[in-house]
Amino acid sequence: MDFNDSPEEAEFRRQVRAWLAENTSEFSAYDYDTMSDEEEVALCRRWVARKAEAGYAAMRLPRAFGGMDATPMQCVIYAQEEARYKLPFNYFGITLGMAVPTLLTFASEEYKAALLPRVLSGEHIWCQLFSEPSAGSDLANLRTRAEKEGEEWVINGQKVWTTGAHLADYGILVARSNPELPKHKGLTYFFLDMKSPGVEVRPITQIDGGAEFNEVYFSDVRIPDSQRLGEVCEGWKVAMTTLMFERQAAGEQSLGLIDFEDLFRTVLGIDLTDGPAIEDSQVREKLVDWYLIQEGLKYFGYRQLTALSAGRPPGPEASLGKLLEARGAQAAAGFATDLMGYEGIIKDPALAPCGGAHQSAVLQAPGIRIAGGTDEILRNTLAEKVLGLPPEARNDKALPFNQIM
Amino acid sequence: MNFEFSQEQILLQEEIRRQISGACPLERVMKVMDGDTTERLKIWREFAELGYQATAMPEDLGGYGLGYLELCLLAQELGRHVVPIPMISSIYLASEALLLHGSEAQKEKYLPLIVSGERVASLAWSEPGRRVANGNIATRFADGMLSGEKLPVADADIADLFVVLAQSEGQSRFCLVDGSDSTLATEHLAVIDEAWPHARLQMSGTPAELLPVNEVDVDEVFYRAAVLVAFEQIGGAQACLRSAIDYAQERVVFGRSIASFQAIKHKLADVYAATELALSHAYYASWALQQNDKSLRRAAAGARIAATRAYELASAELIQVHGGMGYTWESHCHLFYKRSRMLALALDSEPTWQRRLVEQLCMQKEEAA
Repeated sequence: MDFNDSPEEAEFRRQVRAWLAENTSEFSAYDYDTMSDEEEVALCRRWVARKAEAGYAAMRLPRAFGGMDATPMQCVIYAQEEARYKLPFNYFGITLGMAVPTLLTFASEEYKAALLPRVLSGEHIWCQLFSEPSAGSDLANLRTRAEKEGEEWVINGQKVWTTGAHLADYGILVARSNPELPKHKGLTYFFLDMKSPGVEVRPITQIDGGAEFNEVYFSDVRIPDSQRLGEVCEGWKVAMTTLMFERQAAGEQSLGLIDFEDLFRTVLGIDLTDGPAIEDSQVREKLVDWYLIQEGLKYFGYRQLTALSAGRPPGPEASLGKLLEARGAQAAAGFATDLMGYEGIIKDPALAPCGGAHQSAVLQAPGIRIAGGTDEILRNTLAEKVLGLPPEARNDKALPFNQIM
Repeated sequence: MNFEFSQEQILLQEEIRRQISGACPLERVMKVMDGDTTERLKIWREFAELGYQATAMPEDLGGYGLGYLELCLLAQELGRHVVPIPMISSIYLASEALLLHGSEAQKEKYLPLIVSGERVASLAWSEPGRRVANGNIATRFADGMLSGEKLPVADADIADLFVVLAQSEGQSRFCLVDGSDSTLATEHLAVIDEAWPHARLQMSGTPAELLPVNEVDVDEVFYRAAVLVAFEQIGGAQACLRSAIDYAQERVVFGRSIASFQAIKHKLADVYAATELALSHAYYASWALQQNDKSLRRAAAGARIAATRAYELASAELIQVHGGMGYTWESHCHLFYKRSRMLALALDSEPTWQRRLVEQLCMQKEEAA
C-alpha cells in the first residue's frame, strides 16, 4: 500500500504539469457556461489536436498511431492534472474511449492508417450506434437489419440515444445480419461514414433543453464489407469489447455532475435563519453524504487502477461507481438547491452559485441514472456477476430471433 | 501508487481468517451472548498465544512491530467473526493512548503485559448525561487522585487497567488507574449487545497517574481507533453479505429461490456497493494511519462514517433476508445486528464524526487557501 507517486509517476506528473501550464492558457480563457455548443465543439477540436501533438489525446495508443503507449496509471495522472483546468467539454469521449480502441483491435491496417490521424487532428468525431427503440437494456434485441449484397451490406432500421450523432463523421454500428439465429448470435459489427446516402440524424431534445443525442435512421445505407469489424455474426463479441474499453475509460473520470468542492463552497457561502449553514447538523450530514460517495469512488477507482496495472482487466464490480454516483448526485443537487431557498430555482449561470452547476445537475441526473446502464441493470450486474446470484429469466435467449419479433 | 495490500499481507490475513474461524466460530460467540462472559478472557488469552495483540506493537515493547496495515487486516477478520474480545478497549484505544501519551516508563510497565494477554485494559472516556468534547469533562484529576463517573465503559468486567479521560488544571488528560483499587466501583450495565459487556465506573479519590502532556491532543487516539474499528465494521458487513447470499440461495418460496427475485438481488447489490465504498475509504485511512499522513483525521472520519453506514445496512438486511428466522435468538443474525449498533456508538455516534469530518475539510480548505 503506497499512496504516493512512484519516482517514475512523479516524473511523469511533472512533465504533464509543465505541458499543461504551457498549453492550456488560450483554452482556459473562455466562459464555457455561456458559450454556444458550436463554439465549444470548435475549441474542443483544437484542444484535441494540441494534445495529440504531445501524445496526450489518445495516450493508450501505440506511438505509431499518435499515442504514447501509456500505462493506465499515466492516463489517470494526466486526467487528474487536466481536471485542474477549465477546458472545453470533451466531445471526443466516445470517439477516443470506445471507437478508436475498437478500430485498433479489429480494423484493417489501411483503415487505421487512414482514419486514426483524422481523429487525432480533431477533425473526425465518431458516434456509437448501439441502442434502438426496442433495444436499450436488452441490447441484443436490436432490429436494424444488415443484408449482404455482393461486397456490400445494406442497412435498414433505426438507432436512438446516439450521443453526438449530429456532430459525427463516422459511427460504429451493430446490426442484425441473420434473424434466423438466436438474438445474440445473429449480429454483425461495422463502421460507417455518417455522410453515407440514406443516413438521417434527428436530434432529440432532453429535459435540460440540450440535444446531445439523436435518433438515426438508415434507409438502404450501403457499407462495404471491408468496413465490417470482426467476423459475420460475431458482432456481440465485438460490442462487448467496445463496452470493456468504455469501462476502462470511465475509470479515469467522474461523471462530473457535481464536484464536491463546488458543493462545499456553496454550503460555506450560505447563511440560514439561525446561522451559517455549515453549523447546521442536517446540512453537515448531507454534505458528508456526497463527500463519502465522491471521495470513496476516487479511492475505489485507485483500487481498480491498481488491479489494472497488475494486468487484471476491469471487472463487473466497476458498475457500482455509476450506480452510487448518479443517485448520490441527484440527492446532492436537490440538497444544494434546497439550501439556496427560493433562489435555488434560478439556473442562469450568471446568477446561480457555481455557474448554475447544481441546477444543471438537477436536470441531468435523471439521464445519467439511465445512460450506459440503468440503476436497475447495474444492480442486476452486481448481483449476478459479482455476488453470484441467479440471472434474470431470459425466455427468448435460445430462440431464433425471427420467432420472437 | 499501489492501492492494495501486499501479497504477504493478504496471505497473513487468510491465515488469520482460518485461525479465527477454527478458534472462535459463531457458536462460541453465542455462548458469550448466552451469558458466559468469562469465555471472553479465555479467547483473549488464546489469541495472545497466537500473537494477535502484539501485531503492531513495537518489538521493544513486546510486540511484533508489523505495522498498522497488518493490524487493520486483523481487525477486519475479528469483525467478520464478531469476536467478543476487548481488542478495541485494550489495543486500539488504551494501548494507543499509552503509546501516544505515556512516558517511557509507563509504556514499558504496561504495554508488554497487555500484548501478552496477561492484562486487559480499557479506555474510560464517556460520561453520563453529557457529550465529552472540547474539555467538557466532569471527571477531575488532582493531587494524584481521580474522582468522577464514567459510563459506559467497555469490558470493565475483565479489565484490570483503566486509561481514564479526565480534566486536570483545565486540560483534557489521560490518567492510569489500577483496576483492582478498592476505591473503584463498577456496576454492570444492560446494553444492546450482550456479547460485549459494559459497566459504570465510579472513582472517588482513586489513586491515578497522569500520562505526560503530548503535542497531540487526546482526540488523536479516537481518530486512530476509528480506522481500526472501520475495518472491524467492514469485516462484519462482509460477513452479513456472505451469510445473506448463502441463505437467499437455499431458501425457496413460490417455487423459486428467493435469490432470483430482484427485490433481494438489488438489496444485496446495494449492500455490496456500500461495503466496497467503505472499504475504499478504509484502505486510504489505513495508509494514512501507517504513514501518519497529515490527512489521517479526514481519512479516519470518512472511513468511520462509511463503515458505520455499511455495517448498519448489511446487518439490518441480513435479518430481513432471513425473514422470521433471522429475528430469533437462535439465529446468528443478531450477533451482527447488535454489534453493528454498538460499534456505531462506541467511539461516539455519527453526528460527532460528521462534525469532525467537516472540521477537517474546513481546515484543509484554509490550508489550501
